[in-house]
Amino acid sequence: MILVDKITIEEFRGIRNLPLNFKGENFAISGPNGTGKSGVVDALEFGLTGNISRLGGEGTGGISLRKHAPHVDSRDYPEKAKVILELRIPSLGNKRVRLERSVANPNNPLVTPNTPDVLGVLDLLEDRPEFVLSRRELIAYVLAQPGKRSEEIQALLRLDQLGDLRSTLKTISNTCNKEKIGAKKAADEARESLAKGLEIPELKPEKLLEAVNIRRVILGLAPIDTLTNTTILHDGVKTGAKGAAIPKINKVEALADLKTTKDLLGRLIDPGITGECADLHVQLTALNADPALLDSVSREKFLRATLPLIVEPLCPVCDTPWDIPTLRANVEGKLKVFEETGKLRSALERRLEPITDLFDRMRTALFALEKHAKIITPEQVVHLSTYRAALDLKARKIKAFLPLSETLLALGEVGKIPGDFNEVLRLIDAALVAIPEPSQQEAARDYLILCHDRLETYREAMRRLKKSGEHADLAQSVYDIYAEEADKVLSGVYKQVEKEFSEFYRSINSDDESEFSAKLIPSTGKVGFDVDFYGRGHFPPGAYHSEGHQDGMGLCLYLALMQRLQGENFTFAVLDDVLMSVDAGHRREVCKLLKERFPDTQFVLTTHDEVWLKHMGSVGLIGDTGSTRFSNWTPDHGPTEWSNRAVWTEIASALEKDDVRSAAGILRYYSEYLFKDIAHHLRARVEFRGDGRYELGDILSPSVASLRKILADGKKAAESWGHAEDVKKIEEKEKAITEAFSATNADQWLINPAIHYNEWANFHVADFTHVVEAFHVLVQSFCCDQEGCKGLYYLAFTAPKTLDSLRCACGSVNINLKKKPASN
Amino acid sequence: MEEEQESGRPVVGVPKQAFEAFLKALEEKSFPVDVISRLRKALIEKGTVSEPTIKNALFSDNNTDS
Repeated sequence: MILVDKITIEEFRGIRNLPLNFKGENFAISGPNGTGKSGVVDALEFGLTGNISRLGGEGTGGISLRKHAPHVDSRDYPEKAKVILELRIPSLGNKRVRLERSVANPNNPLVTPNTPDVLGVLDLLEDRPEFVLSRRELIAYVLAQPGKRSEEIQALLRLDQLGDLRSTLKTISNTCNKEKIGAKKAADEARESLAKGLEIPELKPEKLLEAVNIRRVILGLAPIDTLTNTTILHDGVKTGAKGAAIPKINKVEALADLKTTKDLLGRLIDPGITGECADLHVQLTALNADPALLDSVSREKFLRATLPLIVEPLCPVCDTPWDIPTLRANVEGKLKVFEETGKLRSALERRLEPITDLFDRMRTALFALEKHAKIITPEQVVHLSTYRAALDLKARKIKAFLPLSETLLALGEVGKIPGDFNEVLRLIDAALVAIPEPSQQEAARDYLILCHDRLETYREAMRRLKKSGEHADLAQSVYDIYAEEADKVLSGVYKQVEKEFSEFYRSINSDDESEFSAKLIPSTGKVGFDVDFYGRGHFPPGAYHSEGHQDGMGLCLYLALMQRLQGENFTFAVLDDVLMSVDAGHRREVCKLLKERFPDTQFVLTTHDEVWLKHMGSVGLIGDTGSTRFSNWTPDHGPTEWSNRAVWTEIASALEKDDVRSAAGILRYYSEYLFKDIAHHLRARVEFRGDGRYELGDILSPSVASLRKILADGKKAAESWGHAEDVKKIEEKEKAITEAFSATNADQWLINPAIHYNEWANFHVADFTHVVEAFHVLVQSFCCDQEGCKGLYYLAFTAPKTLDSLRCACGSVNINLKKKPASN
Repeated sequence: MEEEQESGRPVVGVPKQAFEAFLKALEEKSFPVDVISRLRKALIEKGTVSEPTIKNALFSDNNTDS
């Protein structure tokens, strides 16, 4: 996607002003903890995305980009905190881009050129902060619980969009099904209403036409032969202004609705219903009196209600992630305990259904009657609506089941009809009867108009039912197809990641795990991850493998996922101190893996480990100019690169301020840094440390001894060739190194702890000044004295491993180490 | 109904692969061309998977009450 040629960081995090030239190649930043390496990582992330992920997430409350991304001394000037990146975009023919982003305006970087193709690439980067990998994230991939790992991997692969669509399609399908059920109920009611209006027991086309044609004959209209979707039952009947006036109330319909109401009222006080209510009341009262049983019912109802909600990886209420299979199994396990209780509750609810259904139908009938009452007896409307509201409340309480006390109350009042209600119905009846009887023709006309109106309602209800059914079927099949295809793609991706991960891991552990394999096991909402342990079987990574191996697994999994995610666009990644537990031998293999398997990816690596850095160099992962070393960090100056600093001037400056502690620190860490290089260049025989952490005491004497030995060998070689002048020069160097080393008192450290480097910080200025001078001279003994060179001596070999000479970079030091062959 | 103007994140990588496979499967199963076309526009071009957008894509009028 991009390559970074150069980054310039200004007043950002712990950095005041730091330019780094990556040249679009791999680059390593090393230095002890707290020297500013992570500031560079933050700057890269901020520059490319406008965000710093470390400043968000858990445990970062109160920390914000605007307030805390600027250097502490520029905290009130976010506009000063900026990152300038010089990039190249390979996919756009290596187009060069300058991107400047300030903390004051993180979402609007200055991009040059800001052409749509460039902005498109940068937009993708902003959306993909995963190019930065820290050890914390790496461990999350490997050691996380399956559900959590699934989240991590899904986040990395941007699989949330897949889950979101699945969730959306499921919601749409559920909604459609609910609407279909509602439409079915409405259609049933419309069908029943039409049949009643037609005064036929069962709604069949021939019965309908038979009843309708009787009325049409009375009106002198032609009978209807066939019932179609557009048939008008009252076709030909004169209506409205042109015909007879339509009465304000249809007496036939009104009487029918009144009859329905009376019938239903009769059913409410029918002994069959009241007896059933009484029996249920007894059982529910007993249930209500048993606290343990009641508690079980409550829990069972709650648990059962939760099951349909456990379909997505997040709680729908608080968005807390959950592992779907685990949670479902947990709930189902608990439900088993309540199995008997559940059966009892379900049985009771089934017996209550006819009662609530009766209430529902009564409410519908009352609503219809209210429409007529508004015209002929408006004063009765309030009685009808009051009773209807009471029935609605009772129905809801019974359907809710809990609390039982409310259900019992509602159940006890099923047959309780308001005292004056029969009088209300009587008055409505009287008012309807008072309406003049229509003539046979008027009755026929009213009948046809009413029935056609109900037929239209029925037709519309059926249309809705058909459409809702089609929607439900479509939504369900689309969901099923999507789920199948998404699972197929995911399985394929996981298989590929599994294969590549195993290859990568085998390549870095070829010495002892050449047969290694891994299994990524996706299932709904989780990703299992088992790895082979020396042919003993597959286990979770944390079960038997060491931390170092786990670190390696994390990196390999990350690389496999990134390769899968970005393919040829995987051109840039930042690995922030990710392999701290991997041992030296395997680090070399990691370097080879990065170099050989990802030749087109620019890695920016940070490490606090010098040995790790050397491996990167020796394997060729980084070039000669592909690294920098931070020595220390101060709030005033930020990180300091060893290669750029005037160490001796800094030490002198500290001593002028009586700051022996600072001077001692600089001298020690610089000496450790430098003598590690010297020991490396001169092949010094340093006592091996498995962790590669060498202190000054470990490397100084061996380095001096090595140079002495090399000079001694050089002198013998010069003597063998008869080069007296060279012998003399070497002897001068021998003398210089001996005197310089002696002046440092380093040879006394073991027997006089008071002068040991650990005590330097406690020296007086005058005493420490002598130490500094001695070390300065000693260091010079290992360097070329030519201005413009000043390079460290190093050993040169001829192939394959024959010692050849001691040299410096400019060639002015070139001490031959090969003796003249003895003549026969 | 007016077409929704919502836009989401660019769809790339695995999600794009899965969405394309999904749309292809719908084509193979002879789903209505207009439904597939609207889904493609929502998923691939706009990168949105929100309920109103997908409902609109599936049912055209975004109305399941009818």
